[in-house]
Amino acid sequence: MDNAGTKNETIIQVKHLDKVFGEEVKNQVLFDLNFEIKRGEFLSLIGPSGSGKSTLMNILGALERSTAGEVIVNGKNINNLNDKDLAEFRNQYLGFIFQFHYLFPEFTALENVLIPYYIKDFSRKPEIINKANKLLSLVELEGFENRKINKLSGGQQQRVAIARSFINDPQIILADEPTGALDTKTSRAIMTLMRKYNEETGATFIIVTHDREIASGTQRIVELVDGKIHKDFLPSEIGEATAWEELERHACVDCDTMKQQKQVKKDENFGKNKNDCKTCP
Amino acid sequence: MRFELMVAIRFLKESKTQTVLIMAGIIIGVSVQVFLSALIGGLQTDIVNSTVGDAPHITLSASENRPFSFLSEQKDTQVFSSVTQSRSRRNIVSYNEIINTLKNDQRLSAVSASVNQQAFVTSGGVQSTVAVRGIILEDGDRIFRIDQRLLQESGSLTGNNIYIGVGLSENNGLEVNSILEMQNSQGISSFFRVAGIFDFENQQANDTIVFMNLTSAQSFFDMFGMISQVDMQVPEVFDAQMISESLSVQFSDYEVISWQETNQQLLAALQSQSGSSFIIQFFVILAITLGIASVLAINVVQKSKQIGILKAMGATGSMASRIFILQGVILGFIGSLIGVVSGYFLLQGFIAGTSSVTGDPLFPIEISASILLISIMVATTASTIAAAIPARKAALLDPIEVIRNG
Ligand SMILES: Nc1ncnc2c1ncn2[C@@H]1O[C@H](COP(=O)(O)OP(=O)(O)OP(=O)(O)O)[C@@H](O)[C@H]1O
Ligand SMILES: [Mg+2]
Repeated sequence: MDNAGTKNETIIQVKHLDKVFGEEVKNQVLFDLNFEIKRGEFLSLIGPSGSGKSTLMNILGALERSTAGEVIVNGKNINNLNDKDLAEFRNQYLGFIFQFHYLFPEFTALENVLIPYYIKDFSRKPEIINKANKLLSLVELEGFENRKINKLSGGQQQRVAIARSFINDPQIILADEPTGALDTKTSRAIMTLMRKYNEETGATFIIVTHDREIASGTQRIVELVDGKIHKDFLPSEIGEATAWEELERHACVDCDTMKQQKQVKKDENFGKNKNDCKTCP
Repeated sequence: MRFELMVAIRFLKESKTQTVLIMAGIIIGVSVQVFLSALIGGLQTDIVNSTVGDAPHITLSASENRPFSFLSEQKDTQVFSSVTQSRSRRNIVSYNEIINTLKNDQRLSAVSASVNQQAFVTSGGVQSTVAVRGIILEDGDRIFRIDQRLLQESGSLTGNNIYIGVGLSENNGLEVNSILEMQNSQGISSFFRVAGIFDFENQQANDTIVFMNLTSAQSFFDMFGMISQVDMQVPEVFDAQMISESLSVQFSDYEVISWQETNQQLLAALQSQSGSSFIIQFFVILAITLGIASVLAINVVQKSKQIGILKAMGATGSMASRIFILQGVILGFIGSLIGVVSGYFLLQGFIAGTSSVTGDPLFPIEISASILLISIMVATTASTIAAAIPARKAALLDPIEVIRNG
């Protein structure tokens, strides 16, 4: 699937999206969400823990069904697809990057990159192997092609996962805290990589993050609070200073809550820097 | 090759200990199965052969007259009762037509007309009874294989020549070329020349049976143009019952009896042996199946992350389930293949270990290619079925569960 299509064309349209968990005890997580995402956007989704970011991502990724409302991707209402079509949709249109790489320890780096392609076509053509090799060098993993996954560092593993998400030329890449388990330097490198890919291919990126610095590096920032869109702004339009101000306010979640989150545990230095968890004004 | 197969192989390679253990289970199970079935099969063939191999499989007579085995190693007096059975038999008159019809019957491998009568031998003032069988040697040989059993021979079974057993020869001091006087039930005596001494490896047969030319027997017992019964053999001993039943219809004026009807105890014993062998094999297969099912069930849990992520990336439920079905097929097929081979060598070892000095095995052990193939097929099928439950679990696994819970 190539990324044909003009920029500024709507690729994702969400209308009156509700998500309620539970049958007897109902727990509404998303409330009447309405927004559009343009083709080629490089967007970050921020918000406090439990605000529904992952839930929204999973619905956009056709992994979870919405309770009400519509999700239209490329003009197709994904609510109307059956399980088989959803599987194909995920394979052809979407690239997933998660906080944990979810690579296959049984396979080498190169084979892992090829898995989404193998799912639809196991012909093992030289062209596709070349492409996988190119993607690995794109994520700066030249020479690691035949390493088993558990012989790679966390950052290297995440880069393999990123290369994997690109193999089928997805139009949309959904990244749920892709740098959550990585240190600041590696996180930056990974963001640079994704941004470069976004500029080169025009693929649409939606990145969930807790990291203000990462969010500040994206084109558009959407903040979710208690399952509602709290803010939705383009840093380039409101100016850098205002954008940081907005982000500062986002950061005013208390340190204890943040620490409890599993994604924070990996970063041992979290909380030592006073900027990590400011108290709200 | 399909992607599922590649994943299945990797999963098996990755869980080496589990794979090796369950493989060992299958190999042991299948080799025991092959060993056991060949052993029991061989044992049964041996028993059947020694019971009916060199005896009539079917007899046709005018009155009740059972086929018997005087070669049986068992001291089964019941089987032998017919040898010493007393008279009162009716005879078959104008038997040529019957013999011709039977000899043209493709289902029969040997047909032999015979006169069966008792006669008396007096030696040292003691009178003993012998069972005379009047046969055409050429025909009778095909059933009784007398030629192979003759220890000494000085002439064919013609005229007044008779063949006697080693027992009779020792008891009465008879040697080849000795003259023996026998008396028929009417008290009429005749002289015969011992032309051969046989050993049927059975005391009663060796002590009592006397083979005589058919024509001589007819004249000695005053049975001109008559015989007592027709003895027959079939190529496959277990077909005897069926063929006998059809002959009964064809020769409705006569009594046709198969060896199975006279050896029902033996048959019951064989059947219960087969039954217990079947039960053992059934439980071996069941154990293999359960073993594979449990190993793969654990595997599904261990690999649920991978399965979930495969599905998130677009693998369908049936693709996920095929990964586990294939693991079952691979385990079952390779395991049973090795199992069959090791079972084969186990048997060779057993044969070598139990053979007599001459190199002959204790009893014939049959290893047929079809049994080996069936073992592989059964084990592979069982493994595939065993994989079905874990495969279903994999098919139903919701990727969101994996992604949500890290
Ligand atoms: N399967 C579920 N059943 C019930 N409640 C759920 C389920 N999944 C998520 N929730 C609830 O939905 C809310 C939003 O969860 P979600 O994982 O989307 O938050 P998030 O914004 O991704 O948080 P975090 O920043 O901690 O990852 C939470 O209150 C959570 O408890
Ligand atoms: Mg989340």
